[in-house]
Amino acid sequence: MSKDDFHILQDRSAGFVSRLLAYIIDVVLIAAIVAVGGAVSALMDRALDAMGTNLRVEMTVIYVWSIPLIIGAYYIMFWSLTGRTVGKWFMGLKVIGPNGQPPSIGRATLRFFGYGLSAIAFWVGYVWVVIDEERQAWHDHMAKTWVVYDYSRRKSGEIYDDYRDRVERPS
Amino acid sequence: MSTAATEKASDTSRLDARHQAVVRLIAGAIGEGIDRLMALSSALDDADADPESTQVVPLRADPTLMAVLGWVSELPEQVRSASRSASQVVYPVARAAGVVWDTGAYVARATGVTPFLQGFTEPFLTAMGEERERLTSVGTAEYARGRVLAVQVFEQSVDGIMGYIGESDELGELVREQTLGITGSAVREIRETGAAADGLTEGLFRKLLGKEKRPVPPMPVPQTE
Repeated sequence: MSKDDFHILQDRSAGFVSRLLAYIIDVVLIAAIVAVGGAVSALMDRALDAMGTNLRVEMTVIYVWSIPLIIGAYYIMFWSLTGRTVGKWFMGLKVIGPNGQPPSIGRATLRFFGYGLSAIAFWVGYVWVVIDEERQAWHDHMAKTWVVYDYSRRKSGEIYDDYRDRVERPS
Repeated sequence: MSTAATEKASDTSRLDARHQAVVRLIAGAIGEGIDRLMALSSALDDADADPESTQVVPLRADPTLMAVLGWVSELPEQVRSASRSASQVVYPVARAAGVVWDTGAYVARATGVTPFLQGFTEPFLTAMGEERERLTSVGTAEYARGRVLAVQVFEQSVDGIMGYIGESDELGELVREQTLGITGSAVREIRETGAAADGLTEGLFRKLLGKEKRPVPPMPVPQTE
């Protein structure tokens, strides 16, 4: 497939490399969020300590337990609202349910727990995409979801034209 | 604008007129910033800025980190001369190190590996011996001085660069246009490369499994939910 044929990929199932890159972007972003949260917690701990209140144990417990909640909220919220996480948006991908729309919260939650299952078996569940007939990973099969290409069909430069139209159009 | 930046900006023969304008703008803005930085650095060196007089209290005065800073500040002059004013980099580096330090310490406490980490830091600090207190004092002073410099350098440099861009409406417009256009092109390029790699990877695995190569990826079959 040449790059001129790129547009024919729209709405078709996405492959392993694009999904892997999107996953890496999401992991880096989540790691950054967790690190910032850790730094803020440490600062709060110091501030409370200076005020004579020692809540170190409680804050540590809250911080450690909030990490999986943050990760879950990130994925489930983005999938169910728009079908895209930041990584998927960057790579031009979208998660859809059987009706072609973003998955419901329940389906997104099931998909998130499916992530764990796919990872537990030495990430075989993720790599499954390369041999699956519909390019679905294990978590996609579990939740009946698909990851499809969803490119902006606008060419370079048209993004700016849209921006200019929005900014300069008289109200 | 510095001479080197001007010469670099003039070498735009392979670019069209709009790109040339952007290259000149970027080179000019950088040159403007560098000029301001050099002038400020000279002025501060001449005045030998006194951190005590600015009433800046170090945000982070961890004795261990300050001792390490003091040790770095007393490195041989040859090393220090690599940076014209070592204090300019002390504060940003120390702030970044402080955030990493705090986060690391927090995770270490949560995971119970603090004694293991102390095995690394304590021998280093112990080796400082009686110098430790003096080096802590030196580090604290350098940290405070670095903060004064960092704030002034940041404010003045940003002012200089923004002032340069703000002088021309047309250049400002070009920056916005080119930034969006270049970003869009880069994203599209990454997506296209990713999609091409998807096809190659799948083709390789299908070949290994003895299946025929697919000309296009499958289309999901919508079902009734």
